[in-house]
Amino acid sequence: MEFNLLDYHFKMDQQKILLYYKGPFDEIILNNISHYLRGKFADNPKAGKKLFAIFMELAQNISFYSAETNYFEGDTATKGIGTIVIHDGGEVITLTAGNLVKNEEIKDLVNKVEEINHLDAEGLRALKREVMGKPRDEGQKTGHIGLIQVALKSEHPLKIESKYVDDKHAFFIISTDVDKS
Amino acid sequence: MAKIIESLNIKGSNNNYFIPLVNFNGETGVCTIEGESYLENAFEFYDKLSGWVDAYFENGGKKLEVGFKMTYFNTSSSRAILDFLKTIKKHQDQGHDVQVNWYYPDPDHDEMQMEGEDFIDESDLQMNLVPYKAS
Repeated sequence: MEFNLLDYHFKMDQQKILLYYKGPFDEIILNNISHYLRGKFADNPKAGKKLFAIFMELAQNISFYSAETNYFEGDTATKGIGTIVIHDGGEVITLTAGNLVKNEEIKDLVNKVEEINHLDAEGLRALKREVMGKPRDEGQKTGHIGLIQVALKSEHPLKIESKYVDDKHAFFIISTDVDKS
Repeated sequence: MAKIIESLNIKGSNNNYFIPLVNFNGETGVCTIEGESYLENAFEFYDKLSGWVDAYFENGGKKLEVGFKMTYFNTSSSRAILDFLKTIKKHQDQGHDVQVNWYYPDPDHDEMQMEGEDFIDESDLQMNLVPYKAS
């Protein structure tokens, strides 16, 4: 199948796109996009820092947990592949992240997001402390609190969607908003 | 003052990962950690700081003063920082002279005060929350 960049470009253009990235989420990409976001929102540090922190967590989730990975010569580890879109929704900025997940992981993800969406800021802080306080597992690399942090920073619900890909995988999409003011 | 152990100095950078600036003085026990933290292996990084604090007291260190002046850390770092704070708390409980300051900027767009409060709550460490005027 030939990739139609033109078609794609104009489809994307229906929304005010600030940033679109698809590819491996390695530290160089994270670093560059995070600097771009902070620079772009230098006049609105409150929204800019929220966007930055949310982007970092969603991007690292892709990097660590995407079921699709890539390895280039010289990489120290494989990096997850996914997509992030940031667009201007008028009153809010919306971040959307998507990546392949294994079908059996969806249930836990949905439950986790539902739990998060039922909590207010104080409830989220309590949940974050509870998860953080659990003993470290063998081989644990992350804090397991990324999505809680995303919800705390965004002050909006997390929206999720999963699309069937094949018998083993789904494309899992998570998005949230940040108020401009 | 006699040197108790070698100082631990880590140069901060944000060229790829975000590495905080670390200056742990093996003579005075004055330790500072500041900047941004997004690391390839956060546990390895903060476990090293815990190991240094343990070694400092094992070698006869009397007084420890730790200052945190973080402007950003990801949640992986957050989890690892909690374990480092628990190490400091262990020494506080053993009766060592330990003072910890958590500096947060004003204005506090990164909500560092809240992060400090949550760390106190979760670690039971006695830590002072100290605002500073951000440039």
